Amino acid sequence: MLKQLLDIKGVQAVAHFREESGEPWQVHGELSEADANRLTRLAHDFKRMTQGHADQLALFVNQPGWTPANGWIVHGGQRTVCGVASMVAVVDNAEANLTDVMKGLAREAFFL
Amino acid sequence: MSDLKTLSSMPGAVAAFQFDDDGRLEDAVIADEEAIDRDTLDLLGHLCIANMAIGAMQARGWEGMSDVRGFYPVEGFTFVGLDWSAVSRGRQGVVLSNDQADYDAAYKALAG
Repeated sequence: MLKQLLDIKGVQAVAHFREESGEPWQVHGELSEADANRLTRLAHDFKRMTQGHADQLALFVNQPGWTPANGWIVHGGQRTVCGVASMVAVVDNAEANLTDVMKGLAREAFFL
Repeated sequence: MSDLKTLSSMPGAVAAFQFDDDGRLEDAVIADEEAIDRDTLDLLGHLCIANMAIGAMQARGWEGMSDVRGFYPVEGFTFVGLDWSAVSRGRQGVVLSNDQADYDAAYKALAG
């Protein structure tokens, strides 16, 4: 259940977005509808960009294991955005453990 | 700045590296030369700089429209590949094996 990720300390909002368009599929937490829309589209763009970067890295280096990309984190001063597959979370830096958040998103995304 | 040797000895770390404002590799401590080389670290530095810049643009735009703040300035970027992750903060980074990655510990250790 995506909503249960809000139980992880410091998680303020979580969303699952449509793979093809970035439109919100499910959103839980402290975001307005407009912000939820912006967040999932932003996350959708980052997901596609990081996949492209992973593919390019694989072209140029001799080390396997970079592609496909599994996730990304943009670390802000007070808040951070974490993405795994088509899931995204907004967290409070002062409270969240990023490893717990990424594991939670991965469990939700990959049914681990 | 954090000590690269200390960073490279974190659980799951195969390398710690430092890069300039363009992403060019300046220094590195490689703990596992079978796993990664300096050319990969140089490209990862460029990838981290690029994504911090993109994240900063998005955070700047977001904060112009939303009351949910704290994303800007962007201080770091984490890239999660299939088997490996690169955690960066400022102009330093650490490459971790995903099966042992502690993103929270790595990001905190990069605070110097």
